[in-house]
Amino acid sequence: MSKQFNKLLVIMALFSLVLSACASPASPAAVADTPAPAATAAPAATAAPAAIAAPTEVPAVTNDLGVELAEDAAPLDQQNLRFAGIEGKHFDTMRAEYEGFAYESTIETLAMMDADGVWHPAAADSWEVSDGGRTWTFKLRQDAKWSDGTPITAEDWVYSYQRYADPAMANGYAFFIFDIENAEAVNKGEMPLDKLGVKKIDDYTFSVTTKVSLPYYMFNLNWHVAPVPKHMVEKHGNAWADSPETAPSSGPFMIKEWNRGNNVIFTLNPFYTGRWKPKINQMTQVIIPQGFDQMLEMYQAGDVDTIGGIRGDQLAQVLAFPSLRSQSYVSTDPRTAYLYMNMGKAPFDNLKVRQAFMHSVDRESLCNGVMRGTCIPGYGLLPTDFPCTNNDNEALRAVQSFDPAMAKKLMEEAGYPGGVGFPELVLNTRAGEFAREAEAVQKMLIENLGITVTIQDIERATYSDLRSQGKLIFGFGRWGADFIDPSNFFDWWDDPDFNSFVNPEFTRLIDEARPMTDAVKRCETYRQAEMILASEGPATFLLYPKIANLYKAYIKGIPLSETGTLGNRNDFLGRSIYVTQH
Amino acid sequence: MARYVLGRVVGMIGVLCGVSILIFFLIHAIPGGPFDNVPATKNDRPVPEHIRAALLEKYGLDQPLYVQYVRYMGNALRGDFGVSFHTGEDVAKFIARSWPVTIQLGLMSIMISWPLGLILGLLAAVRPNTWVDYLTSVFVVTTFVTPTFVIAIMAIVLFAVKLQWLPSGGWGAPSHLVLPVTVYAITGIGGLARWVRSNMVDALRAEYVRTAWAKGLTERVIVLRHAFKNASVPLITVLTPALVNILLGSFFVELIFRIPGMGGVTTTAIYNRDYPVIMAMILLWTFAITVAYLVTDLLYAWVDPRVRLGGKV
Repeated sequence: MSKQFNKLLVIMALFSLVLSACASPASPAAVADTPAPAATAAPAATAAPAAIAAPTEVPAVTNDLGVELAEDAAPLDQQNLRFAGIEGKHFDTMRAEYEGFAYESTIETLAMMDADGVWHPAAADSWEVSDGGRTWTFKLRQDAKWSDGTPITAEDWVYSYQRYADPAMANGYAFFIFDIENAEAVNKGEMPLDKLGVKKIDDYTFSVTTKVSLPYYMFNLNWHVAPVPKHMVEKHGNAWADSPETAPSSGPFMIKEWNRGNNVIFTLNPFYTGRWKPKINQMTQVIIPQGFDQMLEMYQAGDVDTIGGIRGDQLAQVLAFPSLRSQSYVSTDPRTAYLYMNMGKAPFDNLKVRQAFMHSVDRESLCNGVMRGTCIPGYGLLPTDFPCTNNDNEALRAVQSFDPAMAKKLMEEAGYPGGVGFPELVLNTRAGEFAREAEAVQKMLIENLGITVTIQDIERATYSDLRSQGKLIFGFGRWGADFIDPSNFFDWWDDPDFNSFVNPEFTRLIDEARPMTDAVKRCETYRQAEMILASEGPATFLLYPKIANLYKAYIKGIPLSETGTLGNRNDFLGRSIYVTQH
Repeated sequence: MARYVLGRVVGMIGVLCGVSILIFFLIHAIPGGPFDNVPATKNDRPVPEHIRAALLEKYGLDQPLYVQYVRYMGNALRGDFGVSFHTGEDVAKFIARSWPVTIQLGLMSIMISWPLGLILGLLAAVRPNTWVDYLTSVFVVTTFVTPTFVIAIMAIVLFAVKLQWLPSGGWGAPSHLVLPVTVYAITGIGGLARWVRSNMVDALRAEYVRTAWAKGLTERVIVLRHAFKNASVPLITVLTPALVNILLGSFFVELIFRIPGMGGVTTTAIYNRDYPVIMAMILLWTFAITVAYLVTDLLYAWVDPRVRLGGKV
């Protein structure tokens, strides 16, 4: 009797297993949509040896724009680059920075920068600077077209800028163009749009005038700045950027599909007539949710062909595996991590306390030991490899050098011998970032200063709320470059609420340096400002993270700088890579 | 019966009102708003004051709180849950496209975890303290105690990275279902199995079971028709809300496997101070759970004739 019962149970168990097996497929389906192969144009004359008459040669792979690929290229339906990225709100780059997405390949900026930092004409054929360095005049390509065939003219560009500054757009990033004449007044509604310092000169020429001469302004003019299709905006309002049908592109790629939460598929813009035609035929952005942390697994599983922004623990993992390491390109992230000490509040209103903290962190052991070589010890504001960086300068390093004896002495002078009487500190980290670094630093502070420090992680919005109200006393901060110019780092320290730092000499120096045309003098001036910031500012500079981009071995054509790195900015990457046979 | 249900529905409306008011004012009380700084992947750059004011006005956030509440609820009753601050997508549309995904994931995992959990629990209960029981216990405790995301990541590393059998995540093809459904199911088996086992062990000790043995009934009949039927009644109390929770989605499974469902949305919405989404989710949750409890009580009354709804036994 019980044997029968046992049998029944076993049968039921097996049945459930079969049920679960029903869920498994025959073969894994491909993630990307395979495009219908476009009619390939007749391949350019291939070097057929004269002796062979019979057409046994395989024609070269040609993509949808007629670009012929190298011999080792994979067939056209495999020329698809899959990468991962967070989903944005829409495709409009000129509405509020970081809200739009998927536009890196669908816009063409006026110029493009290569890995060595040299500008090349792109949407603009040429440009010149006049008016003492204040006015930039761009002559646009006359054959440029939107992906729906409409010509792109100077009208689109000027319209774009005006819309960016338009107060009705409530653009949270409008301050990005406040260097342009009248931009701030226009944005506040004090002046009409046409008073903005961006003027159409003729159908294919327009000019941008800044308030003062800014020699580095090419960066701002080419950071995600692109025309919006006036004909679409007028027809659909802001909703133009919400779906691929109403969002034509001006760049080499256009958006074919947006499957929310899943992926974005880019195909070549058939009307692209520019200089830099891509080799790859299609791109797929695999959408990852906010907070996703399994990029490396995704890459190793072969679900994407490239990942970027690998740092910290994952970078250590990459460096430890030879197969991954050989596929990685490591560089310094233009980002500075520091301990923020609120100068406006006790105990950090005391200079000696701040200096004691500066001298009590062993950055070398932090980066080389705890962080296993995934960061560079930082003693100044500007990261290594960044223009005007001074991190190797002995004098600068001495200012915040690791010197526990000096630290103890300073604490004593400040009135806290051996840390006695020092208030208990809470070190706030922002949204779990730099958690391990914070723990290591905490230990160093306790050891070297004899104080009590606890770590408390707070989430992003609360952290920045506290900071902008000047209420954050002690926190782990970081600043990443928006564009590759020292002003992007220095100008930000001038905000007394966010940074509690008020120093007229510092302000004078950075105001002086900003418009300088002499690159050498400019760096010198910024370095003087950096010295002041490092000596008496609210920051203990800690490190610059290393960062890696990984490309599968079958992706070739990656442009590198003369020093063999990807460079700080590499606009040509998307144009020269292609997939080889594998 | 009808009066009872009506009474409960009225109560449900009351609960919805109360919860929505409480949550609404609570989320506005949290420091930081949706537009304090640029929705940045890079830096927390404070937004200039005049721009922030313009944004608040645009989204109606400068109105007094009660005005905002009334406006939101008025719209919600008409099916308009607003537009997400963070994604710009209409919230109702978002729910319409993402909830079916979560439901599919949830239902498929239930189809595996419930039968398996039941069977394992039954097995362990009818063969207590044998190797069957111990093995089941070990399995159950391990899956119960290991966090979901650990199991998920281990599954990805084994099946996607090392063996390259399955994709590491995503949605759309049958192969995308295997890992998330399995992981989600595994984490559900443990709890149910434990529950079933302990209830069955109790049920099997009851007097009427001894009587049934004495009468000479087969083990199968005793376990399934007598003991289990009685043990399954408290199961209803547990399973119905569990069903609701599963249908509302798992944060970790959907995050780690990149599933475009509804599971993680509440957490990210709170993080981003995405008020329309938070409110819509809270209303949805409250509605779903109160309905679940109502259904549970009705089922209870139906299954157990001793239960009288509304009070007296």
